[in-house]
Amino acid sequence: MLTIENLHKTYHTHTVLHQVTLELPLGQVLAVLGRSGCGKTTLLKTVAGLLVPDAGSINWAGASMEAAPPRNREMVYLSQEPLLFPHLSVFENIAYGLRVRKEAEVQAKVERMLQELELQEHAQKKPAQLSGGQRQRVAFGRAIIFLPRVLLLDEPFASLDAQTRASMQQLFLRLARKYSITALFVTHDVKEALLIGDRFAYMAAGKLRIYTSGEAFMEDPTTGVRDELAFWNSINHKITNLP
Amino acid sequence: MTISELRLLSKRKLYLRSVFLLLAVLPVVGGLLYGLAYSLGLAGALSSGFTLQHWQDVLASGAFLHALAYSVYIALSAILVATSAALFLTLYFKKSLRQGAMSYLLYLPLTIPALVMGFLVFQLLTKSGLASRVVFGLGWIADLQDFPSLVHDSWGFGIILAHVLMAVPFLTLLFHAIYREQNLDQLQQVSENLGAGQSHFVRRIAIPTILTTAAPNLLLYFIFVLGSYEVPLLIGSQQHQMVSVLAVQKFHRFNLLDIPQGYAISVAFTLFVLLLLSISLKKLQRHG
Repeated sequence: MLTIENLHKTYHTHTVLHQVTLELPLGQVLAVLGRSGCGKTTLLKTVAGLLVPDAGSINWAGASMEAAPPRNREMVYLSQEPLLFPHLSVFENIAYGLRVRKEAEVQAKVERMLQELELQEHAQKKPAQLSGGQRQRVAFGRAIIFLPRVLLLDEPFASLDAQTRASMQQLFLRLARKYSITALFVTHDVKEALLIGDRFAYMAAGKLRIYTSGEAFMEDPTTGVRDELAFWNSINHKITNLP
Repeated sequence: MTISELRLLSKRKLYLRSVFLLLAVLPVVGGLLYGLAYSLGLAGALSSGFTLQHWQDVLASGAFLHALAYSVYIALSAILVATSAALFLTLYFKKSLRQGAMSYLLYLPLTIPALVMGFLVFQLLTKSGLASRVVFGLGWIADLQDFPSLVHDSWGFGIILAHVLMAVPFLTLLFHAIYREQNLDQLQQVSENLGAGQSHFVRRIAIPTILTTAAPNLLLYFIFVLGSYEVPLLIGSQQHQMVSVLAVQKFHRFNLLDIPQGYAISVAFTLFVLLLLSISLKKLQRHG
């Protein structure tokens, strides 16, 4: 289980994380909804060890991660930009984490992952030869192939078109269930949060509010779920009342 | 845009292309053809009709092939050393290159012409030069003449050093720009996040990315060193000559019958460079 307690971070005088506390059991996806600049990225980067918090603790299975450098945390941060290694093929990009760990059966594992991602025929291509959606799939495969403890997804599908985004969401759900991925999934899209999350949270001005259930998340007016529902209901109403 | 405007635009493009061909391509191709004609006895004051004699003389003497091999050795050594030094500076002095005195000092050697750099290296490394006097002053050698020959030497140490001093700032700025353009800072975070250490990132990601991106520029700089003239003329060996020095010597000799050989050497060298460029660029495109 991932446990975060009273995480605090300020940039100069601006508080970005304000006493953030959460618990995330194994194999669960916490969807964090929030607008730009609310501190979501800082939260994920701090958990990954890429930023140092001013106060608070991050624990995995009861063990403190404070002294663990990012490369030993096995908490992989995945951003909106796929950030693939430009000179490596799709195959080698996905194999990177396995090769670093000197794991066995790299060939077989990568081939399986390529199949999962439906990228078999692109295995030897360079990132520059892929579409945006394909690059994001490679980045996703590269992040999960060595089964990290936690996957930290920072609006990973935000730059994709609606159709590609929907297929990536389905791919994520399928693989998250198959590999029992524990993930913090940050998004500003209400629908995406509802679709992806097992648990729900809302972040504003560095403060994280965890909801006890999906219903509670939808009922809270600050999350914007009700506004979204009202909007679609009004559209539905208009369509049904058409002459 | 109307059809007449489009026509005007395409006409303008045609004119610009013609001007480019006239100014950039024609003089080079013309010079090359003239050199070829001269080397085949078809041009020049002492031309006596078509002959392959000058080419046979050049190839049979072995001087051209020796000079070519020596030039390749000098250019390869200079580029290898300069690339290694520039990579080191780019990867381990990133902050200093972005701000502070080093970011300005790096431009200084770029302002020094090749001839002046050759002269500076001569002043530094000759047996009566600065380095020799320092070593003598420290008591490491008993006489200034005991200082090793580092200019006019067979190994071309002085030539290589002069070219390295000129190339390192240029390559460092190039590599630094590539480092930023390719987002290597962010890729380092990704690599670390995936479990790799700093050295793994440098070996597997940073160096290959920089070298792959910079390959065409490195090739062009290699060709520039290959054909360098002033530096080897000033501090090169008498025994081993680089191609440009050998060719110019042929042109400047008292015997006018040597001039066609000078042209043969120049044409052969140009063909070698063109061949090298076409093979390398094809390979780079395939791997790019």
